[in-house]
Amino acid sequence: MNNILYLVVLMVTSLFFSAQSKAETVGTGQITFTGTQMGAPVQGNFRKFSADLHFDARDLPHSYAHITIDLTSIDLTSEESEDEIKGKHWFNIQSFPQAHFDSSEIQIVGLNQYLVSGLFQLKGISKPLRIPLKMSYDHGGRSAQGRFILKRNDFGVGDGTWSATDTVADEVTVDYRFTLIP
Amino acid sequence: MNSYSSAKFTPVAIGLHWIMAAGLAIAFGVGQYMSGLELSPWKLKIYTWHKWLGITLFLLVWMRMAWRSTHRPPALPTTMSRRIQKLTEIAHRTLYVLMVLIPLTGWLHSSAAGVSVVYFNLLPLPNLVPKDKALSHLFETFHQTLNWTLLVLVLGHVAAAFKHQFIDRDHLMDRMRP
Repeated sequence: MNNILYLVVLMVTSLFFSAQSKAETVGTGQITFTGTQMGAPVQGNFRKFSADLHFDARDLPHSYAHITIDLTSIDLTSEESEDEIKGKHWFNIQSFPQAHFDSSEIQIVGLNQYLVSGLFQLKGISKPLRIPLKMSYDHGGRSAQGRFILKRNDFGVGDGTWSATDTVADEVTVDYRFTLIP
Repeated sequence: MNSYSSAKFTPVAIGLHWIMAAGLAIAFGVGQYMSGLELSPWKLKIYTWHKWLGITLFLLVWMRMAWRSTHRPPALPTTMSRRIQKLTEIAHRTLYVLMVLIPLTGWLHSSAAGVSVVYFNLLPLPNLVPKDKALSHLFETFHQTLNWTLLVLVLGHVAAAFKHQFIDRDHLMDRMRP
C-alpha cells in the first residue's frame, strides 16, 4: 500500500523534474538514511526532493549536482518521531524547511567512480561535503548512487538533551540513488 | 495428605515458569509505562530494554515448549470434571500461543517501524518485514491487544490456582513451588 503510494509520489515528482530540469532529467530516485539508536539501526527516507543533475564523464568540469531535500517529507519510525525531528531541537523546519547540496567539483577516482565535492546546507549551517558517486549503465539508462556519512552534531541536528551520542549516534549513513534519463 | 502433592513439575519447568512469570510482569509493566512517555533519550533507552527482555522471553518460551513436549506434566486432579480439565488445557495452550505471539508482534512492530533490534547490543536480529508505517501501527495494535488478552488469562490462571489452594485445598500449587 505504502509502496504504491511511494511509486505514485515518485512518478509525480519525476514529471515535476522533467519539467524543470535543464540538461538532464532525473527519472526516479531515492534518498534514504540509517541512524543508530541505542546501537540499533533505524531507517528513514525523504519522500520529496528535487535533483538537478548533469553528468558527462568526458566533461566533468561542466557536470554538476544540485539537490534540494524537502525535510518536511521525512518518513521515520512513527508520527511521534517525525514530529520530534521536525521540531526545533532537530531540523527546525519552521526556519529551515529544506536541505541543499550544491556541487563545486567532480573528480574521477576509479572506473565509473567519482568524488563530488560541494557545499551541504542544513539547519542554517553550511559545510563542505564530499560524496562518493558510482555511475552504472544498463539498458541504455544510467544511474548514480552512493553512500556517505554525515555527523548530525556538525549541523546542530538533535541539540539539548539529544546532543549526547550514547542514545542517538552522531553518525548517520545516507544512501542515494538516482536514475538519469538519457 | 493426598496424591497430588507428591506429583511435582520438574525443576526446569518450575524454574522456567517463575522466571517467565517475573519477566512477563516486568515487560508488561514497562510496556505500559513507556508508551505513555514523551519522546526523549530515556524513552528510546527503555524501549530498547523492553525489546531485549521481550526477545529473551521469546527464546525462553520455545525452550519451555521443547521441555514440556519431552517432559509430561503431572496429571490434573481427578476431582476436576472432564469439562474443567478440557477448559484448563485450552487456557494453558492459549497462554503458550500468547507467549509466542506477543514478543513476535513486538519484533514485527519494531521491524515495520524501521528500527532493528540488536539483542543486548551484540546480536543484530533480522528485520522481519520492510519498513511500512501502516504495518507498524497494525502490529502495535496486535501487540497491545494480545497483551491485554494475556493479562486477562493470567488473572484467570492465578484465580484458578488460588481456588485450588484456598477453596478446594488440594495443594495443587505445591506442584509449581520452587
